[in-house]
Amino acid sequence: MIRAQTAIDRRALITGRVLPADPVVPPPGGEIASILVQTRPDRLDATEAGITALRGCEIYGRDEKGKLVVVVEGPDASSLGATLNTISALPNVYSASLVFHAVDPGAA
Amino acid sequence: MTAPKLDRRQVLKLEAAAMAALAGGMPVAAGAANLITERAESELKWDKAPCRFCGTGCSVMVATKDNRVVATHGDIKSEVNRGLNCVKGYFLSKIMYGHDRLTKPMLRKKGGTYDKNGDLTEVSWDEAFDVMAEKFKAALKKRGPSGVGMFGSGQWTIFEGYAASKLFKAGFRSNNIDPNARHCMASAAVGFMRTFGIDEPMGCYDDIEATDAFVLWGSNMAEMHPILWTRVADRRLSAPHVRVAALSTFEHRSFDLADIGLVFKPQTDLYLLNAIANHIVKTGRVNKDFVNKHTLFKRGQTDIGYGLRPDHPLEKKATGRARAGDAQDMSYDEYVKFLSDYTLEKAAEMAGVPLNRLEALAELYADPKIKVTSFWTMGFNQHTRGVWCNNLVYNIHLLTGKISEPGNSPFSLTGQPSACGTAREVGTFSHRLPADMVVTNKEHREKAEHIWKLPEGTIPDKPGYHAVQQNRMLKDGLLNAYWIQVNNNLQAAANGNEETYPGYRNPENFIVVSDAYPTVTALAADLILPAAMWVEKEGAYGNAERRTHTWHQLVSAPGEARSDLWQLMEFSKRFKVEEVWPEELIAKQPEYRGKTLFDVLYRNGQVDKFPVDDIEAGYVNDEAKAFGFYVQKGLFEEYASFGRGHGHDLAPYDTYHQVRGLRWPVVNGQETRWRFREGLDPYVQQGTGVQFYGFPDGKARIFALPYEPPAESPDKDFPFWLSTGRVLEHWHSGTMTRRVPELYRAFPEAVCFMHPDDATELKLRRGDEVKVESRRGFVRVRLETRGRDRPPRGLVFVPWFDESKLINKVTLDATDPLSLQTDYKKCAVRIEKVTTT
Repeated sequence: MIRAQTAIDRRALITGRVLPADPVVPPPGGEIASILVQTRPDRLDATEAGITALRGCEIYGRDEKGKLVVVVEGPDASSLGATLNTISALPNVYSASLVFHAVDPGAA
Repeated sequence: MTAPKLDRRQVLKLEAAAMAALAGGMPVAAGAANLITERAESELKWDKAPCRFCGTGCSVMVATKDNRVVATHGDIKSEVNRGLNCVKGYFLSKIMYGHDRLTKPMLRKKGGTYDKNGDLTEVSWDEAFDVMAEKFKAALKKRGPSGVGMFGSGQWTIFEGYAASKLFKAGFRSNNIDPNARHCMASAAVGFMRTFGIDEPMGCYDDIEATDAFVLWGSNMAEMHPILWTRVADRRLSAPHVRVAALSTFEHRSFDLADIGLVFKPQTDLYLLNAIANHIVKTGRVNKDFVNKHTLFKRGQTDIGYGLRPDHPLEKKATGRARAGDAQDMSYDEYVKFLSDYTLEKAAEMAGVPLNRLEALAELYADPKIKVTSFWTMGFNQHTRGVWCNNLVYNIHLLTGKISEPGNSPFSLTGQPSACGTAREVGTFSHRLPADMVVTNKEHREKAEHIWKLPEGTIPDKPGYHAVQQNRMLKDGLLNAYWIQVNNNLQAAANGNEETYPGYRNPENFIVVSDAYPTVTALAADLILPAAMWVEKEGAYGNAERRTHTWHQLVSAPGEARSDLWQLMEFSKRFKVEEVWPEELIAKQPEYRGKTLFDVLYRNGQVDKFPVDDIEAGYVNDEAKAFGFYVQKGLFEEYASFGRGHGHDLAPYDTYHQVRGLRWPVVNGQETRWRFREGLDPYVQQGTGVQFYGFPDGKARIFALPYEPPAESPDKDFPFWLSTGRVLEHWHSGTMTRRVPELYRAFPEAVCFMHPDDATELKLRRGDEVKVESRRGFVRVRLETRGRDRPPRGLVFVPWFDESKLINKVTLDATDPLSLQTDYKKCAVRIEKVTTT
């Protein structure tokens, strides 16, 4: 592994082949996170529906001023980060703030 | 999942929901409330620590179990993030556990000995430091102190930056030490020094809830500072009169909330800033009383060049290059005359923005009833006239007196967790010393030498090589032993193909990289030292609002990885004073004869003053264990003595472990939220009202600075502007975030964002592989015509996180001649389709 990583030369730099194509390995176990979402108050229902449609997402709280408490569960620790970004990129979402995150050692 | 009683997962979910509700000020479900009170009895150990990532300085609660971080949540006790965390908080449990974490020193070897062309081979720390010391000594012998150098970081802890600065400036007597904050914050720092004579924002984040209008100048806070953006959005939504203006050279996520969005042509921010000042003058809204009492007018030197190599044609014809920082006194009337060229109409035309929107923006600043907070980051700072931009935005706030009070706040944000705390306050720049002092000032050097118990004349009186200059000197073979810590400069520095890489591979040079992961920089090095990170060591950071905060070591680093602090101090043991100082210097303090730099710098009766017993019970501290004293406390207290009583007061070290950070100056146990305003800042003399005490006359400077063109603009051969920057998923060069699997997959490769009409004209389609090529190099990336970044016609945006698409091979190493910071936002490129046959 080390040998493969040390092959950086001018050519590697120019062609962009400096690191192995997939340098990441998922850790074992599931994970849980909660997110506080701030959305346009008049689009609260639509945002809630959009979030509920995402894998592993549940709504645990709602405030008519435009806030939602979302709990996300990732059974295999492979989609949570992407889900967070998906939520923050939903239409009318001003911010999606992570509050709690745990790697669940009991799920392995 | 069908178990009748709550299983572990359900408990975790309820707890997660309860924390979020609490942070959002929403009612907590009944069952969940009990969970929080039972927190103390759960098997996890919870401690506070500042987040490892950006300059916002959020506090997080970190849970450890079996020497591993297993959970985090936003710290409800923190005034910064109030229980929230952004998506980067999600990385915190994972960043230390990438599978390719470095755990052994590695040296390039062939046939059992060091060889620059050899393979990286695992070695012991002893062997690593033996070879490294030999190379540093050889470079010192060959060239003197200018032959060695260091490139550090705004991610260094305060102690690490301080220990490094001491080792180089006093130990090796070389000012060739600079932080990567040079790429990030230097223009802001020089802007502060030039306008106010003292560094860092006068306001704080509390301005967000007190202001009536936000103006973003070249800052995509929605993606880069999401927690602050959450507070901005909260303010905007809860107070309907509040307005948000966003200015950028392309449209991004922050425009979603903006009432006034302005996409302007690169470099024309100089026009816009002067035109707003002119509008204030012409409409009679100058706060004359404030201006007369608290400001002076200065005409800045013009035609100052672009910080390129001296033989570059642009530098040869720059008439003001040698006096770039100069300024002459001028009167208010002369300033008004200077401004008269900058009408809103002309500015709108030059910048390519609608006049009515520019007027609306100018009115936010001009209307005396509207409180304004201006935020800026890289759009201003990474700019060949970045210091000017900083000066010009202060002009606007000073002309209207909208400064140093809640809600009225020109506020420079930072991108790294300790760009302020370490790079700026400790003074790890090639020209600086702690507490805003500089190496070129004899009194400042003497003060540092006195505190450090060193003979007069130890610290060299000329600035050393700054970041960009270091790369040039490496390439030219004049800087031969070089140590890089906590940054990835082969990926980060502009024009890497022509300037950075050749220097690293120059056979005359020995390159050492300390990092937690094998970055491209580490892989191009001759020696890699495995580093401990974040809560694997005790630390202290300083955020963008002058808040100093600390954390305890919570877990151990893997394998033989050691903190940068341990590396610096242990390495210093290998140098006898006689090997680095001339005889006449030693003769001034003969008791140092025969001692090592470790003895002189760190066993000086101050740094080693506090025993291991002073460490709070229940916490490990690997550095204290290794050296036999409470290293962090000793370094901090010695460092703090520079600023106490001089406007930079820090609290006693132990206090910081009890609180969620304090904003300096901390006087009589009280932090300072707004500086320079009587009643809010203890340093302001009674009866003055406002006092900009950074200068002896107590006055801030308003600068007349014109528009000047960028170093490189699109032309027939290279018709597009290229801007680089970040994306939400990845932080800076991706060393940490690229090792979080789902984020890697979510945004695996850098793309080239382009306007769909430009794509159509070039007969390109979304997803096509294109070559982005400048006069210096090219990368091949996929084309993206949709998504969150929406460039106008004629501009493309390529993020720089991807080590397989090093966009900095394409960028230009032009810098602001005052701040020496690179302009990563402007160079000329052409876009061609890659045809595969």
